[in-house]
Amino acid sequence: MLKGHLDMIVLAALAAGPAHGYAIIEHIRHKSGEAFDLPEGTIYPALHRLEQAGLLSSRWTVAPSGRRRRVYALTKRGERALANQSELWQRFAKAIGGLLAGTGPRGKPA
Amino acid sequence: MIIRYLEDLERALSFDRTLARRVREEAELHLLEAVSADPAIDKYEAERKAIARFGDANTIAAQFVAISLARQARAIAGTVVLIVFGILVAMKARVEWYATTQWTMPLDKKSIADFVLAIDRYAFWAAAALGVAVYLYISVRTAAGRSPRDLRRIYALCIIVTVVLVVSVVADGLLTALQLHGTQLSLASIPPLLTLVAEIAGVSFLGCRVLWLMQRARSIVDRRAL
Repeated sequence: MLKGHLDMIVLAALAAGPAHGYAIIEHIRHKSGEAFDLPEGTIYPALHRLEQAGLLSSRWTVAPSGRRRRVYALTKRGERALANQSELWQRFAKAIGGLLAGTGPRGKPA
Repeated sequence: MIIRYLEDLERALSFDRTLARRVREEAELHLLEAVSADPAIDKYEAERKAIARFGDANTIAAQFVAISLARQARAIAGTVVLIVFGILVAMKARVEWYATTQWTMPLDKKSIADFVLAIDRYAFWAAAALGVAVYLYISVRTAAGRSPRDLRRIYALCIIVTVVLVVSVVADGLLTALQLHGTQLSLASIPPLLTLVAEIAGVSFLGCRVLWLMQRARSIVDRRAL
């Protein structure tokens, strides 16, 4: 399930601002309450795919520690894609919520 | 331990050297960051955990296959447009040269030249329209070239563009031959011949590049069973 939504998750993580791969993973882990504990390396194919699609841009920067980092940022197209996906997700979640409402565990029949 | 893992990752990505270098560098920085964030005193253990969390090198590399193939397809679409534009420039330069030097087609060859010129024009503009269409398709469609079916479609279109361009260049060759036939070779003949050589070189390069990338894509897909 996570795999199908990885692109949206990465876009959402970058909505807070530009970040490098490790920071994105940490952000996802932290914000999801450690629910999304995906293999860290899988973030890079997603980042490259989104960059190729024009939803992200990237550039090399130098961190205060002197270490080089490739920082990714949302493009305008990426912001629009995130807004669309977010709206779709809200509708989907609302629909599923409506379907599941009142379908809690039933008591044993008498 | 990290170096060994990075070598494995680079080897697994050997189907695309540029991509392999970039991913290796990103993975190295990621792993170093993960190790330095790990409170474990044992550095070896911290490295082992960082690599385990990063994931299997072959699994990660497999996820890059579609990205690499799509990148190559985008590159070839760009090359197609560039070559078409280059051939247009060469043709216009030759026509300008004939106009400047007032070098007209001999009357006895005019009818055949008009016929060849018509073929040349139709072939060139058909190739240009197709080339631009392929380029736009790849630019607009975010997932262009990510599936083997889509890749086949893109390469097939590139082959058609190349073949139609070959027709146009052959027609240009015939027109140049008709123009130069019966005249003595002089310095004034050099620019038309040079533009023709440039056209032949451009279309040959395009043909070789498309075939080479197609073969490469096929071997990657076969190896990775996309």
